Amino acid sequence: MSGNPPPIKISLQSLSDTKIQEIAYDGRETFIQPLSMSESLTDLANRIDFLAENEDEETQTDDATSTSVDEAQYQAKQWPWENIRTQIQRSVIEMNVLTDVLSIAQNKPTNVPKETAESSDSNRYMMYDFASKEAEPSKQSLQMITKKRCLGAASKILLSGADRLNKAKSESSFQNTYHSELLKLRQRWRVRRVGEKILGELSFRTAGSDYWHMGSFEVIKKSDEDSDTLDDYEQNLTKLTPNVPKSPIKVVVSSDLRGFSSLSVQIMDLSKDEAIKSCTLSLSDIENSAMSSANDPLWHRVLCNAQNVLFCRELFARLSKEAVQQKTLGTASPIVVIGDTITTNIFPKIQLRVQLLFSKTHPTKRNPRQASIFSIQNALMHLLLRYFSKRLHISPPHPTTAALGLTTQMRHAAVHHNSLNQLAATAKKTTLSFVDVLITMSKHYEVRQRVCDTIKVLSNEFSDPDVLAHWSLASSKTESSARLTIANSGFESCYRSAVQVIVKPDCIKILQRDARSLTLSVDPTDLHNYFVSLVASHQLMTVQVLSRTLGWTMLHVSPHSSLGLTPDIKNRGSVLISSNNGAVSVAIACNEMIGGPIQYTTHVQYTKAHDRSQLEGTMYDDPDFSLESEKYLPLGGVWMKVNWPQLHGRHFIQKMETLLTSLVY
Amino acid sequence: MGVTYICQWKQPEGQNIQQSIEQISSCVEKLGAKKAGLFQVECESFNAPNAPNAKTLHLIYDSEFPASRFALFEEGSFLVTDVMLSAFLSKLRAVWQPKKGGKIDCKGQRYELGDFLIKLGVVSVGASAKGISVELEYAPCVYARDCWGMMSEMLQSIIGEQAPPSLPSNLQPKGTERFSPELTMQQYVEMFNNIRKTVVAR
Amino acid sequence: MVEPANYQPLSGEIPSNVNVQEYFLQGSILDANADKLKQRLQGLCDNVPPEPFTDHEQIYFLKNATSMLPIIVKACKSLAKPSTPWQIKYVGATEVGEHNKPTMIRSCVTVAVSNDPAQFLDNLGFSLQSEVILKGYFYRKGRLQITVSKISVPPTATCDTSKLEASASSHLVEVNTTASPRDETAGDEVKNFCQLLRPAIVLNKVDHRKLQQWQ
Repeated sequence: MSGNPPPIKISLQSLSDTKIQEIAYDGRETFIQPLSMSESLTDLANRIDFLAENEDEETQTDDATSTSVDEAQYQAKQWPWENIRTQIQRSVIEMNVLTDVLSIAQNKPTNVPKETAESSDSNRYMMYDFASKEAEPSKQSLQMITKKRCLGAASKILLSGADRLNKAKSESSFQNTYHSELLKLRQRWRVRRVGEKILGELSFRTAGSDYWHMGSFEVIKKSDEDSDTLDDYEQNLTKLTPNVPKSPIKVVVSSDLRGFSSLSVQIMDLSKDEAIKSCTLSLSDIENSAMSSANDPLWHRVLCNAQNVLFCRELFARLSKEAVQQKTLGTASPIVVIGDTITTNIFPKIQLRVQLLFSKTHPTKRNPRQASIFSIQNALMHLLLRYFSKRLHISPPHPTTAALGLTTQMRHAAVHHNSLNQLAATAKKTTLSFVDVLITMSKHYEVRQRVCDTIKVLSNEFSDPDVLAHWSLASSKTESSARLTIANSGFESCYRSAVQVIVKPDCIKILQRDARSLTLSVDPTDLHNYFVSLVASHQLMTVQVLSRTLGWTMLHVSPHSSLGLTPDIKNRGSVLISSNNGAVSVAIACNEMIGGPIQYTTHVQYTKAHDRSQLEGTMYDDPDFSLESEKYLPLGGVWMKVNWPQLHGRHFIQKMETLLTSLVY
Repeated sequence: MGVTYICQWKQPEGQNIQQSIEQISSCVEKLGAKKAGLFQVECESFNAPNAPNAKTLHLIYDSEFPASRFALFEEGSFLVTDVMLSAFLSKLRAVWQPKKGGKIDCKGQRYELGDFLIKLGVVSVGASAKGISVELEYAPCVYARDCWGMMSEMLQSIIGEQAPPSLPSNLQPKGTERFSPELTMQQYVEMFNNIRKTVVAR
Repeated sequence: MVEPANYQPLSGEIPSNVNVQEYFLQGSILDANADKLKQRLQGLCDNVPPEPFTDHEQIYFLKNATSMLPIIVKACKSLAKPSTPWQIKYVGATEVGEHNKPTMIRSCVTVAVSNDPAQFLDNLGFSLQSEVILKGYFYRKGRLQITVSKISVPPTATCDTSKLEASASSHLVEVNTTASPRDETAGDEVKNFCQLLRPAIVLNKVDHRKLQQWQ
């Protein structure tokens, strides 16, 4: 603007005729207030078109430039950059304006010291002013209502979302429970899907059983409504253990397997009509706690019980089948099978009864007074298992072209030309007969009980020598042995008798120290007789040894005269001993009163050397009868009976000792 | 399984088979032997008519070894098999056929005398009896040479002069080896062949 | 379960059903997939562990004047358990049968013998055709017998079972059972079992005549 003439400042001002806004009916005029300074400035500022001014400036600049060659050159150079340059220029101008406005509004001149900053109010050309806001509603209730509504809307959204999540989770968890229960069922039992239904099998077929019962069950998904209906059977099952968690699975077993079953084996004494010993066998006894725990769901219990019923039935069926076909017995009477009971008399008056117990609702109660015979339980169980495994584990054919189903021994039998005896022996070894085992075991049990009882009775009867019975641990199902030691207290080192009693199902065998063996029948009186004679012979042997120790000589031993003065006295042996110098002889006889205890009667022939004086007047005084040697003197003395109860000593041998020592002086 | 010796007993003149059997049975019973059942030995022969060098095959069933069957080739191999052998051979009937008149059997009484087993049998082809066989087995021993003395004594008391004095030739090479049923069967086959020859000769 | 064998050797009697037929189906499976098949078989078959076996099989044949086909006899020996007896097995001609027959049928007679029957068979007129060693596993289900085995050529000098080279990279699978000709259910049993093994392996009737034509 240097080339222009100095401008004349003309200030324009609009006429201050205010415009009339409205004329009231009474003539009063309402004027539109004229814009205040700030308002008019604002208005003017609004009208400025910053962009248009720049263009005006630009054209002026262009005209003002000189017509030098450089201008043309510059112009020529600027042409490609023209656009960019103008854009940048515009933005620079705008930035400048902005910074000016801001600095003016903040009123921050650089050189002004701080004290005078406040007094420069009059120099303020621009000021910040608040933007106009909407007025808040004044009423608090209105505020609350609006806030409530907003919160309500927000919470509704949140709730609906949470609801949906919850629903999804609960639905899937029910489904999960069903599936997880089904998985647990499948881990323990064999199930498979047949069409729509889920069927399972609980028989022992895969273990080797050939029982006809299929043992199938069905798995049903329980809906929530009928989850609480349990019938008697299941209620009794749940009563057994309290914590039965509810499960969405229900198991339906065929009705003949619903119930509680067990097999009872009883040995009864018919003369007294009370069971001596009995045992009840059921699978749940053998099942250890690892298989089922208190927290098992109902379906597991139902299935286990059903399997137990099947097991008992199969065992009983096998036993009864063999019992019916049994030819060679070994029992006192034939085996009778009626319904669910097998009975036979193993000994006269001793009955063996096997019964299959089954009840729909209540578990079979075991009589607490009767102990169970564990060995028979175990043996039957093992037999069945052996039978299963024999059926299952047949030795495979090597080479594979060989016939299937033969055992190794059978395969070798033909090729190694086994004779008839060998074949019979192998056949005997491999047959499994349930009934045989049961009968022999029960007989053995019974005989062993008898031996036990007899020994107890005898040891109570004879307080004199101590009778000790030591039962051997090495015993089998059909044989056991005991060692009887008889000794006198205080004189054990003197003499001790020992015999070995071997108990077999059909007989009792006794082995004595002198290598003699006796076979006794199972009748208890036989055993009693034998024991009595054993005790008697022990006493006499002890006397012999004692007398030898004390220096007495044995004159005569008679083990068993069996004769007595009266028929009701049995003699069990006698001994005649004489002292060292021959002066005294003692005769001991052991007698048994029939039905009474053993008595020992002792006679002493207290023969001292005759005093010559005593012999006067008797035949010995005859000078022909020469009594030169002293050795004839002991003969012919008088036998005197010993007053046994008054002899000092606790028992027979001690009394004998006293007697013998006192007679020799 | 012990040492077995089989021989044919030539019955004395003028006696038929029945009487001879009774005579020898009474002899054995007088020695103190006890009857212990019956025995039977059957032999069936096969040959292959079309093959040039085929040997005769004998199939033997002995009731002493009821689960086994024996297959013996003449101057050939020997096998102990199980009971399916005859079924097997019947499948080969295209090549191996039973010989005519080949079925011989020997049936009779078994006697036990302590450790000895004496079998007296009537050898018959078809329905007609052709001879008498005596078999002696000493069970505890398995070496022929060791027990030959005892066996020959026993044989002498049963069949008298016909008993061989020394170990027969067919038992000799196996004197120190264990006795096996192969030798028994060979002896049987020999005896049957001899009997067949005498039958043919008649 | 396994039923007792067709005959009772201890009774000393010859079995009544001497005409025993073998109903069988064969197939093969690649080595890579053999394990899957074994697992499936273990699940389907009886509850016993699979029995490993090594058999040495020699095939003898006897030329027959009357018919074209030679008589075939197999002599088998177990190398896994050498104390078990040799078996000689006569196999008749395989009948593929019409379409309604479920399996291949051939008559067979198996005899157990005391020692190596080579000389015996030689005396009978048989000559050795071929020999193989089969090594694999044996399964059973009731009366069905299933073998999954690898065929290898026996080493010539010593029968060293540890160094066997397989002749092919696949296993031979055979399902068979023996029954009398009157038994109609045996073939169906075999067929139904083979259906259960699909698609791991497809066991079908194989026309042996076609195989023999290629020889």
